Amino acid sequence: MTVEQYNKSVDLYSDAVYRFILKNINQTDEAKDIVQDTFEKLWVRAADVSFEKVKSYLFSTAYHTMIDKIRKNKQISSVDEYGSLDPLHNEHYTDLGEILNEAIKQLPDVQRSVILLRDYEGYAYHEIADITGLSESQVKVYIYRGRLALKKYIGSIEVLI
Amino acid sequence: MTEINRHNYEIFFIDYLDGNLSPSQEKRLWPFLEENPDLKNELENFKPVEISSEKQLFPEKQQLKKTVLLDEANSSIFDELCIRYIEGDLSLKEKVALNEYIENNSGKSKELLIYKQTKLKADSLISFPDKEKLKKSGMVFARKRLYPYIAVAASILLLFAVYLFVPQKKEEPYSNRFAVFETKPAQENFKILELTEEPVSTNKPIPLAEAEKQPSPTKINEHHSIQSADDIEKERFRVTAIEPLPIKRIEQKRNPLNIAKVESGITNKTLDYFQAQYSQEPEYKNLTSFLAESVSERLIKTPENENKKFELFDLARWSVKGINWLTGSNMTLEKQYNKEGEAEKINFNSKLIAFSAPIREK
Repeated sequence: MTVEQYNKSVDLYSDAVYRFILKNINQTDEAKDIVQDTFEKLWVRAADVSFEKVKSYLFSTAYHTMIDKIRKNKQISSVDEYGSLDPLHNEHYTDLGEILNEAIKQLPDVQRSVILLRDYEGYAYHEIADITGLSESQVKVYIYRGRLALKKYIGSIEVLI
Repeated sequence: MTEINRHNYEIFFIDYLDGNLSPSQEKRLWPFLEENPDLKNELENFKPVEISSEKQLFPEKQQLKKTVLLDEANSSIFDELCIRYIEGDLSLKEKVALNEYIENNSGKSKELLIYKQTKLKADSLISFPDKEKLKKSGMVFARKRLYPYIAVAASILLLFAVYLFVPQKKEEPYSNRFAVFETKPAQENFKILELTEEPVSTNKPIPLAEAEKQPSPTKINEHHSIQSADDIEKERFRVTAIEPLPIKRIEQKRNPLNIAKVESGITNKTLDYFQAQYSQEPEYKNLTSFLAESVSERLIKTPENENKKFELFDLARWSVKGINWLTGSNMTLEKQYNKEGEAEKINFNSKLIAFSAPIREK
């Protein structure tokens, strides 16, 4: 990868990586640090990463950097955790976006990550598996469980509203 | 295989009937049958029993088949189909089944709508604010190739750090710091009694202890003389002890050519040597200034800045620029000036470390 391609990667993907991380951890400064760390790592390995694969590399690096930070700060939620989200304290939400934002926050970390990669970036199952280090079957299961939880959350909010 | 006998003949018989008996085993089988006619009869009358499968059909097979993928009795896969629908994973047949099911169950259409709402959309208003800081202007190096450059850069930075943090004494140029002897010729430092033409009133030799008390050889010459050859010999051996030669630093102001007025031969040679060295090399106050000048002569100086006086700070700043160029980082090394325009601090900033150090007065 050339310097020009690296800088183009910054233009093309830094926003997407930032959004992905921000939606996962909900901390602006921490998200900025992770994005900066990610691009520093890319710069160090710029000679080894082709421009065609840089997007996957960035998301994968950012994801694992985020997981490391989450593990340092708290016990990461179990990948098998599955339970209904708690809508009882969210009566003040007025539109679907806010409801979804709150719902996505309450998802287990892995479910949230795979759904964000799927919806935000449109990654295929096998691509998400490559990025997260999960198997394709696991990705499908987490997406399924995440959607089910989101649907129940939204449905219950609609009932409350 | 073991020999055939009445205890194991069944194995041979079975293999024979299945066609699995080898030719050598078969050769052993026939003599055995001749010797045992009862068993021969048993083999000839043996017919393996074959059980043929009866073609019985399950009478209610059609009832098991499903004409629709999804119905009231099979609604448990509804959620799965909805999720696979919004994921775009449904086949055409499954889509048809799902649509039919929703048409027949009006309440389920709302559920599908909610599932559709779980599809997230990226918020385009969220953008990374420090995008420009991420961009690089250096060269892309393979990591292994970068190590030597980093090592060189780190060495230069280390040198700068040593310069910055190790206290430096107020030192004079090396050319001013050599020792010379006092300005007396060597022979003047020995107290040797000299012969005089005039006789001395007393023949008594001067005691050694007394001679040592003499203030100076010249005074001895004035007041003592030796008359006989024996006395001369004795007087020669009464030479006083050699006084230590005082060594002191000669303060050099500007030009080493004006150093002390040295008369002795050995000190003149020493001065000649240093003078020759001084005329060949420019004056360096200390090691750091020597390094700064040497490196700047080779690497930094250009026709435009030829007359500029380079310091180690210039070398350090040049090395920081080099590291920025190599690694694409944004380190800065700057001097901070006070109101009088005098440099008072050096500030270093990088992503990982930043420090400020006062400039030491030399």
